[in-house]
Amino acid sequence: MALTYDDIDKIARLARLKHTPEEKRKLLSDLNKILEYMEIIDEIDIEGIDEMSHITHQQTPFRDDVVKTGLSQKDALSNAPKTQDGLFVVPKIIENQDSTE
Amino acid sequence: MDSDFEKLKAREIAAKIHSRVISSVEVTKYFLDRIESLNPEINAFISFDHEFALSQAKRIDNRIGSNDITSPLMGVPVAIKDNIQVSGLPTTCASRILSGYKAVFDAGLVEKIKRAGLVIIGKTNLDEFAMGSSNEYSYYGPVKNPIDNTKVSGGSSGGSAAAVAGGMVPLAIGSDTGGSVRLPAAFCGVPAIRPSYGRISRYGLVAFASSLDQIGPFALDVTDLAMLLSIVSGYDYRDSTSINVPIPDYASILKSGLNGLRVGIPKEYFGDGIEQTVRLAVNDVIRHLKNDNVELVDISLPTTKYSVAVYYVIANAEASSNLARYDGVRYGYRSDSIESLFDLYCNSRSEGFGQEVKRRIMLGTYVLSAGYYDAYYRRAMKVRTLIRDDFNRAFEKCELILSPTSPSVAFDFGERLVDPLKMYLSDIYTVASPLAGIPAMSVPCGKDPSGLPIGLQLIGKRFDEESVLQGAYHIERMMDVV
Repeated sequence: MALTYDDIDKIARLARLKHTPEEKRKLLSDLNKILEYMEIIDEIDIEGIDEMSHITHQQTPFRDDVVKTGLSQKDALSNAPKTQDGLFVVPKIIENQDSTE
Repeated sequence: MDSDFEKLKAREIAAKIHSRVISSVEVTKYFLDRIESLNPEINAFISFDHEFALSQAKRIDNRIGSNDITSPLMGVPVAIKDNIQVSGLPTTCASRILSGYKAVFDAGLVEKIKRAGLVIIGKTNLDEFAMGSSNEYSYYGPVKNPIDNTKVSGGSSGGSAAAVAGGMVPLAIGSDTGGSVRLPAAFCGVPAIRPSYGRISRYGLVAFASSLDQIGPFALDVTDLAMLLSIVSGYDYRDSTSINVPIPDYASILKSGLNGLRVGIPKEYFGDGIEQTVRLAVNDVIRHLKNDNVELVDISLPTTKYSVAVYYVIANAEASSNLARYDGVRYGYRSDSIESLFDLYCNSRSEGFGQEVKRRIMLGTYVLSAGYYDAYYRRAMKVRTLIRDDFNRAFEKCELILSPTSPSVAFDFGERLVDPLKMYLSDIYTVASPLAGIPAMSVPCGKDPSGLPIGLQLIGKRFDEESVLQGAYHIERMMDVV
């Protein structure tokens, strides 16, 4: 089942990416070729096989509940593109219902 | 100071430093000069910092002066792949999206390297976010192979491999998700190991595919490699996948070679698609091992043909999730053209990531999306179990598995760029062992008629890096004699 341009738009939105028409054309052909190759795994019988979601199968390791110094606020903000008063600055998140504030 | 330090092994340089024949500062200056003169052509380093390196070397010389020698490689320069955090230096991941980023902490293994008194000399080039097999997908340009600069270095740790092979630094650190340490090692003709999942702390390694990522060292020979592996290995409470097991003194066990070890030859790794020169070189090694009375066993890994597909489903799925953090808010590149929060995410990411990274995020998002998760991701996770079981069965008959590292020698620039699938298939022999979490390394085993290096791969049982290194040492000695 090959991907369509609509699929590309949908996946791009999920991934927070956008593409030029030229990029989209190349992407559609690349992804379809790769996905076609990946269909090779359809031929294996996986009935009753567990998923290998961990390599180690170890339990979550615990550590003592001791306070340790972490990243300082200054360091945490030092690479941010825009900050103000010790905070990250982003565009307005909540859209107005109407024009009155 | 009349030595050509690039011709010496790291341990030989260290011995000279420890006996005060030379200082770490002099050695560091020497290699900085080498980098200055060679890097414009090879492009192995994204950044290197004289002051940063020399101030470490000065401190190390002082410690050596008061006989505070903390490791057998103390005073020797080492290069770090630029997806690993070194406090105070940039971490670019060879991506525009991290341009200007400066690390504010040290990775777990960087702390160990500093404690051992090695000098961090610079950060090496890679495929963007370690996604690639040729080191052509770097925002900072491709790495050239120092053996033949018309060929790729291999990727994604191409900078680390080329820096060591080109005599710009005696030791380097890379990372390997599906072959990114072993492939460039094979193409550039140096040994490198990807140890077991959990052996080296990944705290401070920028995440690509978390169930697969592992750090791996490069060196000029197996002994140096073993010494460096002992230094960087070990448990770290900040990486909950690292395992608290004893760290062997790897260099001390090398000399037993393949004594008492059975070597499995998997028929699936010698099928069609392997270049004739590679096949001949590896078969030559096998013949010599037979003459050495090494016990060789025919084995089968029937799931081999599914491993590339399984790997690229799982790695891209995990990448799409891990790379969601690049949102233009907390660090990294932010687009100028933003009106909404959606624009901020979307434009920053689309302008900041390169083509291959975007392709993989798209693929990973797709295989995890509603309606396709079962067909791709869940299925791949189940086949991954079968791949691991294949190895477990094979290791009932042998301690090591021997194969080529790559079906080809280093290829031409651009050769596989047009076809991403062809690039993915470069990893055919290297992706299965990370899926199983087991150690694997590449060791040089000859050259093709044009002088391009050929790499041989050894795969071992989980946490049995000793046998892998012993086997590589045996083969390295054999190649010296042949």
